[in-house]
Amino acid sequence: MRSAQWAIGLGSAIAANAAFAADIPVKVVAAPPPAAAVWELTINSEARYYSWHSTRGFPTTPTLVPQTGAPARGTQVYVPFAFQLVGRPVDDFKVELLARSGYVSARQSIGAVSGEAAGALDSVLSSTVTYLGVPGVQPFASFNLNLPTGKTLLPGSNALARGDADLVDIPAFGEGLNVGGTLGLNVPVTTSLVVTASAGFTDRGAFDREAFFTPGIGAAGMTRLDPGDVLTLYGGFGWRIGALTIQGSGTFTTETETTYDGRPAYRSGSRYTATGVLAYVLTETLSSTVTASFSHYEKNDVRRPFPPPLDVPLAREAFNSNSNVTKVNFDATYKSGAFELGPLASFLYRDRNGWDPTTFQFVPAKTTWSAGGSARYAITREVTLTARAEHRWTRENESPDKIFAPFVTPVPGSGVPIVDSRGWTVSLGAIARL
Amino acid sequence: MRHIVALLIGCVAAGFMTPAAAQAPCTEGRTAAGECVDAPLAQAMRKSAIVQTQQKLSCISAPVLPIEDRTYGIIRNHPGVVSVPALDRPVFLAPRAC
Repeated sequence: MRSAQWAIGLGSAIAANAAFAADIPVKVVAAPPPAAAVWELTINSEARYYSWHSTRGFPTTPTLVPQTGAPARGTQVYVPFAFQLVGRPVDDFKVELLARSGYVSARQSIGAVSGEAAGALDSVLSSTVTYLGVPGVQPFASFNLNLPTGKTLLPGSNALARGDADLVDIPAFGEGLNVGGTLGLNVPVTTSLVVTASAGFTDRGAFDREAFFTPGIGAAGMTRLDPGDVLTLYGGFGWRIGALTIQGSGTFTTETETTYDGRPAYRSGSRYTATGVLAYVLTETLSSTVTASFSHYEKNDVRRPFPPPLDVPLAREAFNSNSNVTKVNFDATYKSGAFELGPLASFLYRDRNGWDPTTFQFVPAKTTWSAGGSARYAITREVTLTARAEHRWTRENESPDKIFAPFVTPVPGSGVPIVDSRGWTVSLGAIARL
Repeated sequence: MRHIVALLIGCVAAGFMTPAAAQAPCTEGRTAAGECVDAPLAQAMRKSAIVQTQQKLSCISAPVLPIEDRTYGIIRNHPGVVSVPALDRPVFLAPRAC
């Protein structure tokens, strides 16, 4: 069922790096052995607990929730689990299958008002086939599904259960049936320099969502939300130079209109991302990885604020309401026998959080820091336990009073002051390869 | 006679074998020069290409194992809202899909 040597080679991509930056290989791997009839089943699950408190509830904008401006606190328990089967039915084809789902329980309290949700999350199915029979190019095709097994409708104050994605892993619990396909190819220029190009399309299905929020009442009504479909082009390279591995990539994404109840609502601007990874093996026991990424959106197309009718075509917004997002992750790993541990740190900066209609300016930035550590212990060659703990700090700068339809002047008190949040993440998990 | 038959079968089999197939397979294929590609590197590049071209496949996660979330996490731009001037709604901000 399994080749130990092959698993060690693969393991260097997933298991050997305690920082979990694993698929960026940090160790030089010897030429692999013949791989015919090799199959590996991987089972992986974690239990993640998030606890946070903030000077203001989330979302911080006053119209979205029964927002009183009171301090807030929240928790989230997230238990993802996945099964992965990788193998080669014949020499020239590699097949990778993945099924992933999870459970969530989330709660947020703002003063005396609370919202909570619990249950299954959406499930992801993925299959990838790679053709290895042609020297110099390895084409692959991937077919992916998001199955709508999670909740999309959280009426009343339960909509508060959705958390800030900068503090918790899961910002929403479900959406529609999404179907995604990717075609691409690896071009190995040398044994240790690989150039990759791919194109992917995601057809996103419609789902029901709360229609609007009323202060003091919460989410009400129901909207059929049909999110835009997405086309993405990708180019990248990976290069191993001795103990150093460098990876760089860029993407371009364009999206179709999102509709509410069949009416155009908005169309996200085209998005550009750039990502770089440096992984370095200092000694046999010490390694480190730094990942940096940047994303930029062009302007959105939105509904015209004034005047009606509603069904006019979307218009390009006057100013770009999207943030440029910069993120840097750092981790280091010390390995001794079956034990690995090391520090983790990350920094995330959004240069603006949204469009402010009062001042025709961008609202201020948001910054997130995190620091913590991770550890791994290999019980056997097949089973490894994992643990991680992180503390997070976020600061969202103040924004001025807002205009809300049908009013035409700013509503006093609708501005948002500086919002500070702090939170903990603790995670325990296990991974088994059979 | 048996030796002759075995020799013929061997020659026919060899005739069907391409040069690539005649070599031991590599886990992630070969370079144009015929050398085995660095397998973890090729695997990481393929996975990155799939995840990055399916950024909006799911609000929950990319199509990877939970242990790989930190490596392949998708950066979300807005925490759940988008500015939409929706006059048929009593709010300025409307829920974003994800």
